[in-house]
Amino acid sequence: MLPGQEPVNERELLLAAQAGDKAAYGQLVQHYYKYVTGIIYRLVRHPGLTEDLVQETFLSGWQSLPRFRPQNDRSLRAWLGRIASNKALDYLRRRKLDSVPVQEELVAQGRLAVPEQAALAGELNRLIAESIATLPERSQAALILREYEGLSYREIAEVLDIPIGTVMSRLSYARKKLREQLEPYLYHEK
Amino acid sequence: MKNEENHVEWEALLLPYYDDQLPMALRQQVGEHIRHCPVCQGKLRELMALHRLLQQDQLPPELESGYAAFWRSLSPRLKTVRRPLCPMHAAMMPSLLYVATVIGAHLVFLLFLALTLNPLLHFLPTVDLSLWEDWFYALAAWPLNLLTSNATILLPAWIADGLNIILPTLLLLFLLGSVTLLYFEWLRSREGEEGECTSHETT
Repeated sequence: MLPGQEPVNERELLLAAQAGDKAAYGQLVQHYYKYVTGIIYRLVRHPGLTEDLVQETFLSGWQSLPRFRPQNDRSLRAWLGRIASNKALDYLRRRKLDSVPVQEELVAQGRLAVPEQAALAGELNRLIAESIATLPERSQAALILREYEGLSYREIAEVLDIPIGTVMSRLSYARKKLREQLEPYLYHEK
Repeated sequence: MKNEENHVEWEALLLPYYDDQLPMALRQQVGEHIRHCPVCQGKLRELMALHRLLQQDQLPPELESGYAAFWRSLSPRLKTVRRPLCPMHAAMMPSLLYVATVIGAHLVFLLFLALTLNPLLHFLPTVDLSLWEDWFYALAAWPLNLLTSNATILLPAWIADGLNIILPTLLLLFLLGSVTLLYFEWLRSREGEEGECTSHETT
């Protein structure tokens, strides 16, 4: 939550949004915008595509909202996270089926950051992004949800629709691989 | 307490310990082990260093601060969605149907009554009752005659007089009962909207 921002009474906003109140949904969108954007961006690694997929996520959320029922083990955050990660992972799968590397596809669309911009964005960022991209997609998702979004194992299990044991093994694998790949930078990141 | 020599088991607990996903009692045990185990301390330092390194990877500024523009483009795309019937309302449907049927039957009855007594109701079109002397009239209008003086032709006077009082009273009570039922169903539907319905899983 941003400094100075009023705490969101999520339940009231949710009920209002479920009744069709767009303004209430807008507040929920604002609350979860960065969270959803973070998940999608770190999976697809492109700002333009991220914007499109974030829009699709919140559109799907709006359409499915009347059917959403919060329960003890089911939060709006996990529900939106599930939609977001599914959108991003579906995109990655489609991209694989099309056999067009995302970089070439984006260059063709004129949407890829030019190398100079990439350089400005930081070599370390590029290395981290590349290292995460080498992981299996599901491990990427588990890692992103834990390391960047701070979800609990239970929430990650719900978002990815897998058992908690699988969450732990995917996280363990992802961290092990990243430690190996980024080992020279681990203690010299500054 | 786990055996200190069985280090593989401790390592398996290191990750959930680092992620703060262990129950308090187990967390204390693992913490105690780490205090005395340089190997686990090293692994924990690695995990923390990896976390710090990953945090260097921030969102691009245009995404970080682009909410306002994002909402401007998203908002017009949010069409009004048809809300599914609340389960509470769905459960009410049989009784609502019943009440609607009762009220509908009363309206039909009143229409027939009005037609039968049409000389008294000048605002209704005049109906030639001779046209009703077929099977439909016999079926639909015969019970109504009980309420009119014609009943005295068919029944002894004291029965006809009794029916003339009891039947309209019963019909009135029946109608009042239906309206009351409708009112309670409406109250129940409001309760559903405010609480019960919203905590009910529909998917």
